[in-house]
Amino acid sequence: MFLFQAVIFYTIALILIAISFWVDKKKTITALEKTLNEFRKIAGFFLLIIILVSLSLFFFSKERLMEFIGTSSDFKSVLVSALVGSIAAIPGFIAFPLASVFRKMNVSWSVIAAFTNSLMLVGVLTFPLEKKYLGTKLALIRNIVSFVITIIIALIIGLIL
Amino acid sequence: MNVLKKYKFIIMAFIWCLFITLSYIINFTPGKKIAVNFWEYMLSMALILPPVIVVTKLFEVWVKKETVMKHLGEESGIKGYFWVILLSSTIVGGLAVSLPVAVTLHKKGASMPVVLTFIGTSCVCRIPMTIFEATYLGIEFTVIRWLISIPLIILSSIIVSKFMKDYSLIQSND
Repeated sequence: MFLFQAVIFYTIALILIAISFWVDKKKTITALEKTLNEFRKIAGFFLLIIILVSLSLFFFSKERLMEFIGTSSDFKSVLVSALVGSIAAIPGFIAFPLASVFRKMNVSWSVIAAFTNSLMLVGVLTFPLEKKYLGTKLALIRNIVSFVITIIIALIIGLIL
Repeated sequence: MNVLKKYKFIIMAFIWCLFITLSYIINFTPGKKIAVNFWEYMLSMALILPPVIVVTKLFEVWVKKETVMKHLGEESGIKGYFWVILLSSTIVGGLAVSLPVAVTLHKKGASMPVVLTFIGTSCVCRIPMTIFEATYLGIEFTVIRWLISIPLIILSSIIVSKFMKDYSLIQSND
């Protein structure tokens, strides 16, 4: 699946570069130079993020997540799972199967929503990278607002489902 | 101190390599597991990121500012949000991909609330991820989550932008 996506991405990018080059050589070279500069700018931050994510995947193992998230459904466990989801960086293909295991263990929908939504929306570990793109202030505000949104979504889902 | 700051990433890379090598030499299981995580994540990023960045840069040199401004700028109204949510649903790979795209759009004149909406919805509305979510947690959960998240993200983007009026993404980025 992932490799398939990558092949499509690279093909599209190469076709676009080829067309662009054919129409205007100079502009294309500018774009390629900008690409290189961008990579130079973010490479270090990226390495840092990848290191942090690989550590997080180890420390937030399935067993430990189950301990954290537990089975109660009060406000406190919604908050805890939102916090765990904010700090942990777990890709969707691991997180959703895990969430369905939680569901089978009778974890409430609101706790599951808090966990998956904060994983997606809030990024404590990716903050250094986000800061680089958005600036510290906006990156900080975006993450705080996203956390609040996550809690609201979790509570509403708890009421509906 | 300055030298340390300048070379901080190289120092970090060096320590990291040392850690992984040592883990294999002394057969330190956690270290080996972390190393596997590292390579897997590194590979997935290496597979996605380069073509995405190239395309955003081609977009930068080819697409006129007026075009983006017309569809995603201050005057674009509700249509701007519609386009940007549609665009964000096609994103793969999360923030690492959506952030450079968002900054590119903003450089070309997309308004702040539209750009923030893009970042938010690219986190929660990505189609490939959503399909995956729905198969594991049920379509009902996914639909409700979409219906609640999208308005909340748009609303919060508008509010945040109001408070950050004088803040320029471009300034902080270059």
